[in-house]
Amino acid sequence: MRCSEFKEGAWAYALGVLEPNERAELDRHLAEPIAHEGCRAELDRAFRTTAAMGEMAPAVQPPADAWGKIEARIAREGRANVLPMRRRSWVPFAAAFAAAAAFVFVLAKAWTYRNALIEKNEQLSRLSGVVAEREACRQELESMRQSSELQRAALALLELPETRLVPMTGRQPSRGNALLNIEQRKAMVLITALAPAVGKDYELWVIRKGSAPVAAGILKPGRDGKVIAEVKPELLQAGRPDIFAVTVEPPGGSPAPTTDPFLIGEVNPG
Amino acid sequence: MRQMGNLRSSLGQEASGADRRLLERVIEGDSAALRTIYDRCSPRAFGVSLRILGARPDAEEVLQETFLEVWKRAREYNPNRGSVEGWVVTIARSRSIDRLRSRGAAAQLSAADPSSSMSMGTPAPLEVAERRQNSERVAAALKELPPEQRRVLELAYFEGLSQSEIATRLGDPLGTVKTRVRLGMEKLAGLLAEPEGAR
Repeated sequence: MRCSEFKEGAWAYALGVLEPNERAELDRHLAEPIAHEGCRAELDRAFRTTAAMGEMAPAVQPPADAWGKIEARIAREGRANVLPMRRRSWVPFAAAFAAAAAFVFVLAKAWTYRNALIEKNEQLSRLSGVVAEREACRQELESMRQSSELQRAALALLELPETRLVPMTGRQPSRGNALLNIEQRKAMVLITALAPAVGKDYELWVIRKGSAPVAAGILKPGRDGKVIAEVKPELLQAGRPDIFAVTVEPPGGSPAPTTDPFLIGEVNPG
Repeated sequence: MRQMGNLRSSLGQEASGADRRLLERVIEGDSAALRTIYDRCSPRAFGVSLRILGARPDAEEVLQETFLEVWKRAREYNPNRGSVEGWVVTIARSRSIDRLRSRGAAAQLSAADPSSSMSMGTPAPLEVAERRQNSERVAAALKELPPEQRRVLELAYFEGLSQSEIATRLGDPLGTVKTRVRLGMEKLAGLLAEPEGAR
């Protein structure tokens, strides 16, 4: 078999539609110690395409107890072919234990001295610390509440059949989607992998062709680099926007974009 | 807003680094990592099994077998062949087809009613949006295939028929079916590789 023949058959191989003898023939070719002409790469491409075909079936949530059954089977059946790390000899383990014990001893000593030195300072700062901590907690909780509400709103918007997804792409690895439901005058953006905004802000823009970009708010990524934001309904009163874009702006944002788009999503007219 | 049109880039380039790290944790015996993969991948894997098998009890069994296999074979994941979700779904599809063949139940294929149980649980909206985007992308690509190519791919993917069996089922010459499989898959691969919005 030549490489060109293999590459023709790779698609059927990955899709699993070959007869056993045909499959064996391709396996033999792949195992041949020759200079292949991209056979493996073509087979990988065919497997990637087959994997993507799973999207043809709708996602269906399994029953709530399904995970528990899987866990039980894992506990029962284990997995003999993995976990070599669990069968280590006791010698390196004992050495590691001794090193850890020594480390803990030194740490405990250092800790005692440290405590004696800072105890007075702590007493003085405790009161103000508690106040600051309480304020930080309050802000964290408020942020979580808002984030949770936005997540719920985004999921609800996604469930509406007329909601359109507008992929936003640009500077990798950041990426996202704008969710647009023009009938209900609702739009949200979901962006991931945004670097922390230090000394700058990410600003969202709603753009209609022939008009100046309209500022739609500052995007504040969380510690996980994700951000969910809602576009004010009044910005959608004029009808369907043509573009959603994100730029990097000075802190507080700008009335008009001052940099090239960081992320951009064009609304398909269809 | 300069260079607005120049910033388009291909979507769907899943960062496989995170996937690999998750699987490394599975290899080390971390069941919490497997749970993360389960949370992310089980709806699609279950959906594929249900579509192939038609019966929920069978699909539930296959789901268990699928994740047991992920647990045992995590080392075998090959990122060149797609995302972790693609790998998990491929396992679910293979086990479903095995089960279908073992019970000789090609005739028992019934239209599952996924709408009755279609739910994404409570995942993060970012993930839901990306999944929906991927689904729309694949659906759009499939729509662009000639109907006869799409039909052979569906018979192969969801019924696990070989090319000879497809030829018998459709009454077409085997050579024609082979050509349709190859052309359909090649075209699908090309469409899925295109940058978003290029079509």
